[in-house]
Amino acid sequence: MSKKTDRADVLPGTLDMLILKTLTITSMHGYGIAQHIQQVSCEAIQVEEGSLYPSLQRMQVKGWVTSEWGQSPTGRRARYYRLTTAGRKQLGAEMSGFQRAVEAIQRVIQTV
Amino acid sequence: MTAIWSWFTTMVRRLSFRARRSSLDDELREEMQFHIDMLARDNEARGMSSQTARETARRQFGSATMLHESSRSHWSFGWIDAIWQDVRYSIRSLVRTPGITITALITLALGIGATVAVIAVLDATLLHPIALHDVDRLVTIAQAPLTGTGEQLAPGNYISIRDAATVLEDVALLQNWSLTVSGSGGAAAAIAEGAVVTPNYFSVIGVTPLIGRVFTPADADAAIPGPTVVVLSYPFWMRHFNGNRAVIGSSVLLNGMPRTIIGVLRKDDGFPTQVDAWGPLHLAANAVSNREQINSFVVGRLKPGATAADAARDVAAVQRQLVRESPATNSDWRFVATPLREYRTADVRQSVLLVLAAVIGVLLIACANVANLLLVRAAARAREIAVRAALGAGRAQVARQLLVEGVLLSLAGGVFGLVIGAVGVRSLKHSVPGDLASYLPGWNGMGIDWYVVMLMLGICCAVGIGFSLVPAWRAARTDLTGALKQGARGSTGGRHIARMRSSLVVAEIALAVMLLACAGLLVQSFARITAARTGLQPDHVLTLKLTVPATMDVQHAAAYHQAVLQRLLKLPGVRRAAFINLLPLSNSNNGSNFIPDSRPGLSLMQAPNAHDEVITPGYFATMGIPIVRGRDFNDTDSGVDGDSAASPVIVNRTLAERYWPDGDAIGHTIRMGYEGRYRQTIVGIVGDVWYDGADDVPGPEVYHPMAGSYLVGNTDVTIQTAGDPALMEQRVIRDVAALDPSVAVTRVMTMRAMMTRHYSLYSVLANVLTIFALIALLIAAAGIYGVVSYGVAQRTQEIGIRMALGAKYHGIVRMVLTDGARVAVIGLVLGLIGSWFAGNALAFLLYGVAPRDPATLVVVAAILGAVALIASYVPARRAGMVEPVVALRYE
Repeated sequence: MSKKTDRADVLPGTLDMLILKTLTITSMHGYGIAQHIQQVSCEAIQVEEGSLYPSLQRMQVKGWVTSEWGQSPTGRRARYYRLTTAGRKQLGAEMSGFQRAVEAIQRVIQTV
Repeated sequence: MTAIWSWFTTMVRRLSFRARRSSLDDELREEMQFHIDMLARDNEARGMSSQTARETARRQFGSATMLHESSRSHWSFGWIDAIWQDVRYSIRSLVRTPGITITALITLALGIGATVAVIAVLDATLLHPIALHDVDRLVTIAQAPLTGTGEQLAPGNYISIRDAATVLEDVALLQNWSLTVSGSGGAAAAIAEGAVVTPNYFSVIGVTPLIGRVFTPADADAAIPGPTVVVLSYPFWMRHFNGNRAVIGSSVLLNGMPRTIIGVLRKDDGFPTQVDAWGPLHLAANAVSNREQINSFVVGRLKPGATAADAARDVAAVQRQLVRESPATNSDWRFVATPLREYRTADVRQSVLLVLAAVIGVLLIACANVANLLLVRAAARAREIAVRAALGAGRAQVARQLLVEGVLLSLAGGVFGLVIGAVGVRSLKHSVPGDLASYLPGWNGMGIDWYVVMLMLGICCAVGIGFSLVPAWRAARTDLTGALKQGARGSTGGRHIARMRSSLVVAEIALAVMLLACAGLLVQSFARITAARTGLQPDHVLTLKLTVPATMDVQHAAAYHQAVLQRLLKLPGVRRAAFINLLPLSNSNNGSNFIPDSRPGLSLMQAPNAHDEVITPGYFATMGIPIVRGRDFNDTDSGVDGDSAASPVIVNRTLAERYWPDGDAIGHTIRMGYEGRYRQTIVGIVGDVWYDGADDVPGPEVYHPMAGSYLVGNTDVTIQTAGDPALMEQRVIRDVAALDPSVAVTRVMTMRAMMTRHYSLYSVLANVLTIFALIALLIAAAGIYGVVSYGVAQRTQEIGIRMALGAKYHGIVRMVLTDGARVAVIGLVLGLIGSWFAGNALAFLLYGVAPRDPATLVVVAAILGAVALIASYVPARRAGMVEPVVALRYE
C-alpha cells in the first residue's frame, strides 16, 4: 500500500525541535526518530528520511545530542542518539519560540 | 559569558570531529545504510519485491551522497578547509606547468630577494638603528654653530646642562679613548676603540652588564691619570677571552697599563656599538670652565612624559642663561637636543630612500613579469576553469583558487628570495670598510631578523594577490559556453590578453630604462670623483697608521719615530717617507681656527677655520704637493708650543691669497691654539689639497712641524715608492713592526685605495643600482621574449597564410621583429621621460655629471635596443621557420 500522497511539508526550521522532542522519550537511532515523527503526527509530517542526518550532525557539534553505537532489536549495529542537558534547554527555547510564532500567526488570521 | 563558553566548546567539538573525519565517514555511511535497510524491510513487509523495496527505500531516503556531504560539512571549518583544498589543488596545478612555474619562481626570488636586502638596510639604518631597550627616552645633546650641525659638547656645557636641565632624569658624558691592546709576551699590539664615560652612563642608556658590574663614582674618582678599571664589550670579550666568565678581576693591558676588568656587557648592548672597552672618566674640578674643547658625546634620559622637543627647549634655555652670564664663550653656539634614534640617520636617509625606490621598481618589474606568465597560464586553462564552473564551483571559488595559487607562488619565491637577500646583505656589509660601517650605529647589526621576515611575508601576500587579480577577475567572467567549445581559443579573449601583456611589458621596459639610467649616472659619478683632482700625486704612495701606546714617553716616542723613518728610507724601492698626523681623505677631519695678522681684531670664535696638519720634513715631496713659495720644514724647525714667533708654519695657496692678497704671505704671522695664544710665522706656501673632490674651492690649510711635539697616539705614515706601492705592503709592515711590537701598525693601503675608500658611499650606490638595473634588464628581456612568442603563437595561422601566399623567411622575421620593436620603443620613450625626473631626484648624489646627461640616455637606449632585438629575434626565427601547412592546420 502506498503512502498518502498529500504531505504536509515540515515547517522550515522546526526539524531540530521535532528531533529533540522525540529524543526526550528515549534514545533512538535515526530510523526510529523518523518513524516516530511520522507515526505520532499520523503521517501528516513526512520527513524525507535522510534529511535527519545533517541536522543530527549539526546538533552533535553543538552539543545538544550525543551518540553511541549499540545493538538494534534485530541484532544489527546502529547508532543511538541521546539528549543532553544543553539539548533539553535548547528544546525548551525552541518550543517557546515556536509557541510565540504560532500565537502571532493565529492573531493575524483571526482578525476579521 | 555562556555564549562564549558554548562557542568555545562547539569549536573544540568541531576540531575533534575533524580529526576523526575518516572514521566518522565510515560510521555515517554504515548508519545511513542501516536506515535504508530498515526502510527496505518495511517496504518488503508491505508487499514489494525485494528489488522494488530497495529502490523505493533509496528514493524515500533521499540523495545519500548529498546528505552525506551535508553532514560532513559540520565536521570541518568551512573556509579553512576550503583554502587548504585550494592549496593542494594549486600545488598540483603549478607542478603540471613546470616551465612557467620555475620562471616565475626565479623572477620572484630575484625581485623579493633584492627587496628583502633593502628592507634589512632600511631597518638597520633608519628604522631601528639602535638596539637599546629604552632608545625612545634618550636624547643626545650637542652644540652646533648657528648654521650647521654638531654632534658633541664641551665638558663645561655638559656640567651646566646636567645641573640645570629640568626635563632630564640624568645626563651622561662620553669621550673617545684610543686604545692599543698589548698582547702578552711581546705579541703584536692591536688597536681598539675605547670610551671613557661618567659613572652614570650605563644607567642613563639603560644597560645592565652580563657579568660583573659597571662603574661607581668611586671608580671615577680613582681614574687618575687614566682608568684603572674597565668594562668590556661582548664582542671584545669573545675575541680576546673566548667568553671565559672568570675574566672578572683579571687584568688587560691597555695603552701599556694594566686595567682590571670589572664587567662585561651583553651581546648587542652598548652604545656606540663599536666601543670595545669602557673606562670611567674623571671629570676634573676645572672642567666646568672648559667650554672650548668640544670633544664629548652627551646623552640624556628624559623624564617620563617628556619629549625630545621639551629637552630641546630646555637646553636652549640653559644656553641663553649661560650667554647672559658670560657672553663671550657661548654666544656663537646653540645647544640642540635630538632623539638618539635619529643619530646620524640624516646622513644616509636620502641614499637609503633612493635605493628603496629603485628596489621597488625591480619588484614591480618582477611582479609584472609573473602577472604576464599567469595570464598566459589562465588563458590556457580557460577550458579547465569553465569545466569547474559548469560542475558547480562558484565563480568566487574559482577566483579564490587562483588567488591562492598566486600567493603560494609568491611565498615560494619569497623563501628563495630570503636566501638571496641574506647573501646580498652579507656582501653589502663586506663592501663597506669597517670604520665607515661603525659610523652608522645600526650597520654592524644589520641582518635578516624577524621584522624583515614578517615584512617579506606581507609583501609576498600582497604581491601574490596583486598579480593574480587580473586572471582571477577574468575567470570570474568567463563565458562558459564559448570556453567549453572544442578548440576555442577565444579570439577576442586572445586579443585582450595580448594587449594586457604588451602593456605590462611596456611598463617593465620603462622601469628598466629608468634603473639603467640611474645606474649609469651613479657609475659615472663614482668614476669622476675618484679621478677628481686632489692636489696630490697619489699613484706611488703607500700609507699606514701607527698607534703608539700612552706609556711611551715623549723622548722615547721621538726616537721611535726617527727610527721608523730611517728604516723606511733604507728599504729598496722607497724614495721618500714622512709623517703626518692625519692623512687627507682618511675620513677624519682636523680643523682649527686661526687669526691671520691681517685681521687682528678677530676673536678665536669668529676666526676662520683651517685644516690643521702636523708633518715631518719631506711630506710635501712625498705626496707630490708643490711648494709654491718659501721652504719646507727642516730638521731644526720645532713645533714646541710657546709664545715665540719663531714657531714656523706652512700654509696653502688659498689661505695666503685670501688673507694677504696684495703681498707675500711669507713672514706674516697667524695665531692659533687655546685663545689664540701661539703666534706662528709663515715660512712656506704650498699647493692646495682638495679634501673633498666635490669642492671647487679648497679651504685654508695649515701645516705645523712635528719635531718637538711628537704626539703619542696615532700617526700616519706616507711613503713614496719607485714602483707599485701595493707590492711593498708586506715588507713595510714587517720591518716597521719589528722595530717595536708594542706599537700597532694598521690600515696599510695605497693612497689610491684610500681615496676609493673615502668615496665608498658612491661606490656602494653605484654597485647596488647597477645590480638592480641588470636584474631589471634581464626580467624585462624575458618579458619581451614572452610577449613576442605569444604574439607569434596567436598569429600562427596568419603566418601560414602569408607564407602560402608567397612571403619569405625574412619578411616574416621582419614582421615579428617590428612587433617586438613597437613594444620596446614605447617602453623606451616612457622610460626616457621617467629618467628625466629620476635624474633630478638623484642630483644630490651626482658628481661631475648632469642629472639629464644625454650621453647616458643614448647609451641606455642603445643597450635596451640591443636587448630587445635579441629577445625578439629568437621567436622571430621560429616564426620564419614555420611550415605553412602546419600553420594552416594549427588551431
